Amino acid sequence: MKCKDIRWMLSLYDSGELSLEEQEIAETHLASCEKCRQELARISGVPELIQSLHGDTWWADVSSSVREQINASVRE
Amino acid sequence: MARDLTQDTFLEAYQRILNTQCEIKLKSWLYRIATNNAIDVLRRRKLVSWLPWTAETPIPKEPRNLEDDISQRESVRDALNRLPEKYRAILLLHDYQGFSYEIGEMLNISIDAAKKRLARGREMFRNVYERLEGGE
Repeated sequence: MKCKDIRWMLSLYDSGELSLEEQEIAETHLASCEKCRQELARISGVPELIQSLHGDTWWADVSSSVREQINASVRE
Repeated sequence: MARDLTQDTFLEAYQRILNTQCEIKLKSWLYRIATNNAIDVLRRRKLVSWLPWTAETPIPKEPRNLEDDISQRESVRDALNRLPEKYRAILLLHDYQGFSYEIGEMLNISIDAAKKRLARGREMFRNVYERLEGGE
């Protein structure tokens, strides 16, 4: 498996959200790829950063655009 | 509040289903109504969000410099604002609001596509966030 094939898995591996099969694929690759281990370290922690906005009024400002995105996708 | 939202969701669904002629995917339809109701509540809460400390306010895990904290939150907000809409939406629904891969149904995409969009969104977020923190 090449780096470009598993790159999308890294952030989900970090947050423990891959299926068992995907997790095994990611771990096998990470064990032998220093570059992807470095990338994993770099991109980790995004959910925690976003959660740091809890209690922030910003969410209310963007909620309508998110709602529109949901509604638009349903109309597609 | 969750019970109120559930009640509102089913009441609204019941009222709408009487007027619909087309086939619907019930689960994603209910999610959509529930999401819209939740967003409405969150928006209304903005009116009272200035209220000070309450017993429910989480205690930070470790003390942080207030200035750093504010700066970090600004960078997070800016980074999210700079993302294309579809990536911002999935990050907010999943990482901020805590919806699981039911977001796929909300956004009318497969679970696999939702996972890849989420992963891509996080990668894009990290790239933009790093540039902002680096003093862009």
